[in-house]
Amino acid sequence: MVNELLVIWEDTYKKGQLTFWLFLALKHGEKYVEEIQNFIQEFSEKTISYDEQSLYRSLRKFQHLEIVEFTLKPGNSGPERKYYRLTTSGMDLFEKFIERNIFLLNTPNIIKILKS
Amino acid sequence: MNKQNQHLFSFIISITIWNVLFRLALSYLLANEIWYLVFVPPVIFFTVMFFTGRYFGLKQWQDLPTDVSFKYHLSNFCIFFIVSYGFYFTDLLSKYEPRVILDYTLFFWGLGLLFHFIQYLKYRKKTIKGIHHNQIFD
Repeated sequence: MVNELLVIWEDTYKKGQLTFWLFLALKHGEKYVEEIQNFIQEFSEKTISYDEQSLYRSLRKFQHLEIVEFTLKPGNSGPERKYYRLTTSGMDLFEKFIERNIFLLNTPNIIKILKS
Repeated sequence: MNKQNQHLFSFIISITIWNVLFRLALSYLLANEIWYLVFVPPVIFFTVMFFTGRYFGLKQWQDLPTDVSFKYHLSNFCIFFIVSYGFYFTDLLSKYEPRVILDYTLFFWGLGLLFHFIQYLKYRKKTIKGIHHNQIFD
């Protein structure tokens, strides 16, 4: 039962992290969707992957909200690719989120409990 | 034109065609006093309008989850009355379709539209650039 619960928990947890990984990939540098996917797989040590459709759906929303923008660049002998990057407000949002939510997990009190 | 407006524009074109066909069919049946078939155009019209709205609404929602139901409702309202009064003022309606029916429809539908607008304003408070708070980081 524990393994089953673990899978369900991880599934829910990973779904909720899409924005985090997407922003992390774009903070690393501008990318097109396939590169974002590869970045997430590589940096999560293949524990997390998102399908193109989910990434595009989020990118369209973030672009509409002006926290992500893109430029068109020629692809490898194919159609032009959309290279996404964080806007200034996107970067600001991500930094504030990290400070308030991710760095919190790195505080000595929490580390101590986790290691005990 | 962005994708959102493309969907709305396609919706407007489609419903304009349905409205014109509806008015032509209904007026034809009434003018020729084919009473037993008079219920057919409204039933088909309602069904086609419902599925047209659903089709473009879902397409738009999959593209970007913004609530554009009021925009679609307003477009529907405008097209229906432009076509209907257009037919009336160009004498294309039958003698069994007096103007008062259109006026009453305009009034009651207008009330419905006003109610929808109030709901839309309430919903808008929980959105950022049209996207509901729950939908942004889902």
